[in-house]
Amino acid sequence: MKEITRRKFLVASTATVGALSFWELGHYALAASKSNVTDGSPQSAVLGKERVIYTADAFCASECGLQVTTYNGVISTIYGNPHVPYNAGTTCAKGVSGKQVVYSPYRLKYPMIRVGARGEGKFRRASWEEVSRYIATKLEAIKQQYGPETVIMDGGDMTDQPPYWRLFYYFGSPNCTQHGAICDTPRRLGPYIIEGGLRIEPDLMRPVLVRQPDGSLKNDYSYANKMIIYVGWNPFTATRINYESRGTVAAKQNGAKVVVVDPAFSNTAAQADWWLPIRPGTDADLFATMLRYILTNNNPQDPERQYLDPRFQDYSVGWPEFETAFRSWWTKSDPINNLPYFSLQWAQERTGLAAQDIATLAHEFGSKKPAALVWGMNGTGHHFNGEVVSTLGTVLNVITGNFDARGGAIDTALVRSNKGGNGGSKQIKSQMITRTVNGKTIKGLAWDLEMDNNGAWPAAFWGALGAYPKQMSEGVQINYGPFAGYHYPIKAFFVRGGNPANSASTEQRWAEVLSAKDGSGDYQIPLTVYVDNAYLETGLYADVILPEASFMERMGLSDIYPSEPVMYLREPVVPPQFEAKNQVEIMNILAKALHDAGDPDIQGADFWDRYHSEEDFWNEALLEAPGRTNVGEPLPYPRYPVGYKLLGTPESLEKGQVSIDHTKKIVQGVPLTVAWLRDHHGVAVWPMAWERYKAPSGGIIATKSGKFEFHFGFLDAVNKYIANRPVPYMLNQVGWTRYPTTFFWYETVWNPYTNPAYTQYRTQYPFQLISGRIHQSMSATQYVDWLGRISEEHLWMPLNDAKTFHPVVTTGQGGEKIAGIHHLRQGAWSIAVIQMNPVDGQRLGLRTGDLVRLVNPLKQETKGKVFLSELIRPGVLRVPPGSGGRLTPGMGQTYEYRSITPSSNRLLDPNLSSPITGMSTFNDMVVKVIKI
Amino acid sequence: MGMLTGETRKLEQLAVLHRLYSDAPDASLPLLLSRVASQGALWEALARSAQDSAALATLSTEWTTLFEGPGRIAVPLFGSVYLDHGLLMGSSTQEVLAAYAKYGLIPEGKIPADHLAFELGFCGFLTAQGHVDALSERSDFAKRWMWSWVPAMTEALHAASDTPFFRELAQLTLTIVQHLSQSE
Repeated sequence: MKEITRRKFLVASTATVGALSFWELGHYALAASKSNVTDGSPQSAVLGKERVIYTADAFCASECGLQVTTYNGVISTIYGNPHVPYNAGTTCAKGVSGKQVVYSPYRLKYPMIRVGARGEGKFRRASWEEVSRYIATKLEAIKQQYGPETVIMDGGDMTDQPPYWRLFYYFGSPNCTQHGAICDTPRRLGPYIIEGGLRIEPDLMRPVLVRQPDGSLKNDYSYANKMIIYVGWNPFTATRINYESRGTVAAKQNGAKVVVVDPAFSNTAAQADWWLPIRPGTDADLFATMLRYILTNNNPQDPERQYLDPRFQDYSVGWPEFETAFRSWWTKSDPINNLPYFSLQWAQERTGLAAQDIATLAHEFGSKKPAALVWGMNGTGHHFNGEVVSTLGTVLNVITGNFDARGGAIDTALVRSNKGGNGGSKQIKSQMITRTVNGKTIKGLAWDLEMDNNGAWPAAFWGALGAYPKQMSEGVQINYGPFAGYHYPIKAFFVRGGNPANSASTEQRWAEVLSAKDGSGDYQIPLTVYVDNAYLETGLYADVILPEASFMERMGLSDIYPSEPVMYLREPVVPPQFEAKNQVEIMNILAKALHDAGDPDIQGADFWDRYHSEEDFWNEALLEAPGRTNVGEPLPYPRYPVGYKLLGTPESLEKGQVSIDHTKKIVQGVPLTVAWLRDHHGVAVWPMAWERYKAPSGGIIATKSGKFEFHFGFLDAVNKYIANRPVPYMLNQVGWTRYPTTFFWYETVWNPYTNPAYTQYRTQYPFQLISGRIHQSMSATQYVDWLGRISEEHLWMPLNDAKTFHPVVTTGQGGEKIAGIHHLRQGAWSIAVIQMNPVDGQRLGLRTGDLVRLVNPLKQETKGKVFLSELIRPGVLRVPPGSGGRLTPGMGQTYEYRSITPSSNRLLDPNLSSPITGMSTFNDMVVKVIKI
Repeated sequence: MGMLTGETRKLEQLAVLHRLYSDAPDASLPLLLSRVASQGALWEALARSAQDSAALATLSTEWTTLFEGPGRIAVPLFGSVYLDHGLLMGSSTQEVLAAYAKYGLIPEGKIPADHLAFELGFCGFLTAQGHVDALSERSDFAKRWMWSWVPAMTEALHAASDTPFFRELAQLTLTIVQHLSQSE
């Protein structure tokens, strides 16, 4: 763009400046067409042609492989990529909404700087140069005065975070996080401490590439599953794991029994053989009782009762200790019902399920093999005691021999391809720093100042983002490690692709801390930066907005929850529109600005001189792919030694184009590259195997011992780290002084049916409030209006009032035009509703569509319309999470209905997070209903 | 090249309108508007509304909220939002691009070609050619690719803002585009 100041423009003439005319100047300059036209840019549309591009979604965390056609440089059609086995050519409404994302007139287009107060939403347009200088100047001042650790970088939920993490780790802050920290960490704890993974899913991804007896590799489409139990997990609606919906149907058709345990008759329950409408927050009760039943009734001599895998102890440590601890509870009496813990009668009282049904479920799970017990994000991961659930669930899968069995349960985190390590963590974990603690100069690693693991959450292996408002408000108290006793404030918050102000924990708390001022009237957090292509609530509190390239405009890598190593490419389909930039560009721009501002830790060799393009960055990441060992049955590569790490393209490994390092036990093929992926339909697939933990030379188990740990080595190590130091405050809350190292139990909160501390609320607050995920209408996706419009599961329904969002515009010819102006008929648009059983509705004199207030014992409230539905258990209210009461005009129609849609995140107990993982307690609250 | 009678004036007006839709009002605006204030009551009113320097900051913030965001802007300035079902880069954008390409022009940067400022610039370019064919092309272009949506836009602007400046801008824009779209 030609540079000219406005003053010069005026002085010269109104219409011309020197040799240039006004149409050749400014943001909207027309130039001779030979200038810098790149294929696929908006401007090349008339010169373009039809192209097919294989890429990967990132509009939601499913990241399905996509096949996109452009015509004349403009996105035309979007289908699933049939070559990516994760979604095998399928995709959902979100996947095909890429065009609505890229070409939304409401997307973030330009860098902007706040001109009003935080929360007001007033900004001015700025150049990249200005904003990068603004950010760098502030960051350097903060770094000088308070230290780099006072800057938090939240990489959000749109994947491809490593460039941002790299920047901030090099800057010197150990506090880089992402949405996973507020997603479902309690759900991941059990897998993490027992086998080193994160997410157990059924063996349902098909096809998988399997080594045949004749040595060839072939796609296998068969299903071996005999039983699948989904607990608080609804893959037919919350399509996080794409293959689970179609795979469940296929497995069922092949004879598998499908059971859904959920207070709601979800879309998944509708496809199941058996629905068990459990009381919310009692999944741990069910699992513990199943475990007791299995241990009590296991009989190796009885073919009907061979529940336990006779060999599981060969691959595990600490089982006798765990079993003893577990059995020690059997003789204790539960104060809430005076029944022995984990007995069938006890479970019946607490879960609301029939004792016989629980016994049948346990028996069938123990005897129908292979089986998978799978627990969900909302249903279990959002309860305070979800950590107990995931621990017992992992135990049940392992001891019954279903773990990594063909047709059983696979921990996808243990088998996915490696995405590399250029996110900068090596830098922060090796950088030596000094700080003055209690008058003494202390040396340590920059990593030792990480706010969670050295502060209030030493065992939060995924961070405790939901608890950040507390640290933002009070500062970070370092209690452990070399800097114990050090205290620092939070001075900058850099959010990219996330929306913590709406979805990380109590909404009001985030609004409070992000707009809090100190005694001088300055913001307590002097810098907030928001990077995204949608304008969400967190953006309201930003000082600077940076427009990021959407997933159709940037490069990245996907490897989501597969059963075998798979890596597929996110290929830019069109260049970033407007002034949006991809994350590698943003990393380099900010790095250069920091360097220019005098930051000695940021050098070109680590950023702009090392990565000239985003392809350079991702090629480096791909050097680590697939990074899995040659183990399992059938062995992926019989020609290579068992247990050796595999690196390189599937093609080179198959053809033997490798070098083998016997010292390091590595088989190195031709490194995978973006170019290779581009030439192979965007995807690399390596062979599947099962029983991958059994290899004597080392399997997939990622615990320190390499075995299933029923004595939790990870928590043992944390206990040593915090020994003789203050007890983390949330451990005190559950009555512990140290982390449990074997079977543990604690009650969930705000549950008057299981926790005696809350029985007092049973009468006055008679409803348990839970959330049910509607995947097309998540925190960010609603900004594509037609996704928000789709009704779903009696949770997201067309109960809108008639509304004119902007006056109806008539054209000169008398017709109506869409102009950011919309008139909606009543009942024509779906909004978040409060799902209530008709029995409860009748008792309260409520009808569908009635507006009510939900009030909790903490005197917090939210409003919404009731939808009476048989799909929910009486006494339970269900709302979609993060979907109502939306405060940002970036949300489109949902924003217009903010006063009549409920937000359960306004009703959370702000002081509660799960004691080990630090996860926000989203799903434990009681409310009363007041008709308006 | 020789300019046809009255076209110099039109060119000047297009330049100012182009500026008004390109950047938020700032301190340079009063001087710019004062140059065209004598060209009609609408221009005069607009110049008067922009004279108060204290109000310029408010106008600037409102301009950004109305036209650039962030978020759901009330008045998108892209033709395809009105002509192609609410999205950018529709078929009308390509038609507009083709019209520019016919004269060897292409927008710089990555902003879709049917932004009002580009279209006003293109009209300015055609005006400056100073011959009948170009002026005929200008009226065809304005009629087909501006008059088809600008009335909707200006009504949206009129409805979205109570500020006299923006209401006058809406009226002025409507008048100029209507005039441009009339056959020469």
